[in-house]
Amino acid sequence: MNEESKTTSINETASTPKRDRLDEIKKLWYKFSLNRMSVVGLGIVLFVLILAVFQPILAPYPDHVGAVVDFQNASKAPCASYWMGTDTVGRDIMSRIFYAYRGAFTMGLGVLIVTVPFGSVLGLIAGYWKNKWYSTLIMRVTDVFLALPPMILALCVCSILRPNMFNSLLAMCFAWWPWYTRLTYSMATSLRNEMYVKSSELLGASKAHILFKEILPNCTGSILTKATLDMGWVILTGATLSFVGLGEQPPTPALGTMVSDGAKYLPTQWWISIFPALAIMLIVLGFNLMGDGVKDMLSGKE
Amino acid sequence: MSEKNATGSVVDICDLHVYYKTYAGMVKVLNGVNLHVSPGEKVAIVGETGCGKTTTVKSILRILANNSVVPEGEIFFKGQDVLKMKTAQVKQLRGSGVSMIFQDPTMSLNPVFTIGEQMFEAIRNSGQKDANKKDVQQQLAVQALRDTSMPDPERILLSYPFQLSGGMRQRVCIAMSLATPRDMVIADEPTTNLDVTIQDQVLRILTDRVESKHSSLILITHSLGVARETSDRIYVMYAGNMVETASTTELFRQQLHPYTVALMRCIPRLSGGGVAEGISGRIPNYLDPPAGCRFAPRCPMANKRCFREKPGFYDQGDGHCVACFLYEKEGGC
Amino acid sequence: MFVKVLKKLGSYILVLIGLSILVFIIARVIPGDPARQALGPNVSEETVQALRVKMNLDKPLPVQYYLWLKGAVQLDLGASLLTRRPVIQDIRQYLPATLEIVLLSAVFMALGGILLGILATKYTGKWLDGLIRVLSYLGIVSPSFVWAILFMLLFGYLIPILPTTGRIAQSIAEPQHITGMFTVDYLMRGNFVGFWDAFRHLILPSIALMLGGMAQAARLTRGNMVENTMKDYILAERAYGIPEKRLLHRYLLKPSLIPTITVMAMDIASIFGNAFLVENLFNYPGLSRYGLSAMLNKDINAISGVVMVLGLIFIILNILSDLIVAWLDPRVRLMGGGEE
Repeated sequence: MNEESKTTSINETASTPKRDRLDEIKKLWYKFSLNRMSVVGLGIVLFVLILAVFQPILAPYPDHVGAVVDFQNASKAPCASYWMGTDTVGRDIMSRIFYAYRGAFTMGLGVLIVTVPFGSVLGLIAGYWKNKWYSTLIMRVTDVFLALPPMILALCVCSILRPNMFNSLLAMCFAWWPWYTRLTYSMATSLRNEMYVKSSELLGASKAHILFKEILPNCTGSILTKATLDMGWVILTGATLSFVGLGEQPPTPALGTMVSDGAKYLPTQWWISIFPALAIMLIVLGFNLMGDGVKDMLSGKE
Repeated sequence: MSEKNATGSVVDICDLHVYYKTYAGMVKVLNGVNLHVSPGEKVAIVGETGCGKTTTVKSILRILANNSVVPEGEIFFKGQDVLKMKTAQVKQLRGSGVSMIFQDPTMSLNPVFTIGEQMFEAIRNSGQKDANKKDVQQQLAVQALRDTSMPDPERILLSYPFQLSGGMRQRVCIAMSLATPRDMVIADEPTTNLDVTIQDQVLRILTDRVESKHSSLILITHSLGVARETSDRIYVMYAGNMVETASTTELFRQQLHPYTVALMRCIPRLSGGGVAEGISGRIPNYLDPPAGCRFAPRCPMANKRCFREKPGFYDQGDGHCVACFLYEKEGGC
Repeated sequence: MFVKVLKKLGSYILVLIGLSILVFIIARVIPGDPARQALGPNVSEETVQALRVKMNLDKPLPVQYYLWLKGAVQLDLGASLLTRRPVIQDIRQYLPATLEIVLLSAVFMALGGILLGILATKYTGKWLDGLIRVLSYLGIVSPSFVWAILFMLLFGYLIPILPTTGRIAQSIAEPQHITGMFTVDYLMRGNFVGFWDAFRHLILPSIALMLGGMAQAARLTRGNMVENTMKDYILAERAYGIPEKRLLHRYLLKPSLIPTITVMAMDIASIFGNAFLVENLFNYPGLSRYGLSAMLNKDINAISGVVMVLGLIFIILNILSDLIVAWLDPRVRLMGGGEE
């Protein structure tokens, strides 16, 4: 469609690797930012991240995350000194929410850092060597794990172990990895027949090279998009787990626990439950919006 | 320009401008298109990809995308102003006036409905007498398929598009377009996506059917050869303008517009001359098109006036019109 | 085609077996002693040992698995340590309750989601489309327990028009157990008062659970339909004079539904997963709540039983969704392949 112009300027500056990288990043950002809502999502995520990381500085009562009681100020409605009110023992809800966001991010990052590489590599292997026995084995095991909604699986594992942050993280890893395996499996099975893979094989490239340098780069778009969206879902699932008491134990604040603690006091002391619930929705919304942008940003590459 | 419809033409496009609203700005695709089709006439529109041929014909049927704008120009169908038509009239235009065959038969048939369901639906909306009755639809559909030399029409009607080959799908589309009487059929590069071996066959079936039903035809193609084989008159299009039109024999005898001349030279000839050269340069950027004649940046004969002013469509006699200042005359097309 | 179905069925059965092994391993590898847990600390060691033997806990793991599997196939899933009844009996009581909710949710989800998707497509770019999109986002990101709490607030205290606890009002007797689903059982006996009351108890939990799935379905339907609007076949159909309404509801909808159905099946399956919260909050005696308490109390027989039932349901849902997709998409039906 585009006939190359016969007059290519000889004077074009030779591109240096550093300039290429910068250009690439600028191009990616342009594509991401085309969708306004994704930028909003990114803003939300960054905002929440700052709240979590800088909690000791930003929160008005940073020590309320510990075993603090202040019955004089208990169950106060939102007001000037307590923007989101206090809970039944007088702790500032807002400061606790900021801190609880730390747990949420830790949960999200922790689960994904483990499951994404593990699940994806497993899927690549199963997909590339599709007709070998170990591929079938991997996929059958994956199917078994996928036969249950992730929540149930996480619950199951979680309830067996002692309830704490680490164990619920572990439980969620258990439930989350098969989705990435299935994703990369279906991509690898179709990509392994592509010309560039075949030619690499003929050239005698090592299997590791083919898997990681040829096939994997073409999957990164889907993987990263799913991972971005999953951050939100993991946080949501984590909140649900802590809602039933599995996860961070008191007095450390966790978003789900705060909601369930406050549920008893509805509707009169609504702020104890509602603000943590809104906090959950906010961060999940942020990652969801970002997900669309990540998809657009990386789709051109494939 | 409006005198043309008085002579009973099927379609008359006068100075049509079509723009598309995009994120990056206003894409000014059509820049004053003139087109005229008489009853029973077979017209070919020849041009490079991206020159606006599809946009032109889509505007006749008013199936342009939602972000399209028609700031200037008129389209007449049998004397009626298409752009001002109400819903009922548009339905009649599409149902019994004009039909269209698309370039890719794989994409232009709904994959989850049978051929029969789609053909019956088209017939049902044609406004023909008794078109609501199932047996009438069946009869017309079977007849139309048989006319395009399709074996076993009844079975085809019960099949899904993916069960047919590309050539068969295109023949189905041809059958569908002429199942009920039409004043005009538009075929947008109907053979481009088909195997070379059946291109010829499909083209012949198309012209056959059009002739036997006494319809007009607008055939879009990027191949002058195909145009020569099938049409009575050829329009050469470039970057949103008609640059030349003449009867087929006349155009091949003598090309006037510099672009047409260059196009002719592009055709490889067995009788010496070797492989053709391309035309240097590119089609203009529609977001920021040149002010005057859009071919001027690539034209070997261009002078200062060409870059400033847009030429009209000058009649050289016998319906041979050129959009070039070299042939400036009174009396447009 | 028949062979393909058989093969798929076979792989599903394999998955079930694998699931049973997985669950078995999880349940048996618990730290702590289930027998002691069940009987409490004040009981003598002999009594606990007797229970251990009764539960086959003294035998090697593979033997335990075999014994359990043998029982499971005969629908004997052991006894619950909490309720002291056979697990199968508990399941027979609680499963239909959850099924009622899930069915109602599924209906809401499918109808509501698709309808909203069609509306959003019809008015693309206008305010209604924007509104539906925003609401879908909200629906997707809010966990169902948030909705449950909001509903309790709204309908429990502010506008008490719908019941927020239990399955049936105190004053009405439970129906005879035919299917276990109160609404169905009442209807089958012609007891409309009972039916209506049972139905009212279903409404709030169902809506709380289905909002996420409905939002997802609406978003997907809209996305697919808008994408397909650009396809040539829609343009061609419009060019043949087909009225916009028919185009929208028939020729655009059908191809767009196919990817949505697969996702909806998964969403319905996950309702089972999320139901425990809602059942807890609404004090609704369903399977998920039973399963949750089983998990929290290390009631291994109940855990295995519930998980197996859920796995089975998931597989049935998958089969159903495969069937529906095959019905909608002739390429899948006739060729064993389809548009990815």
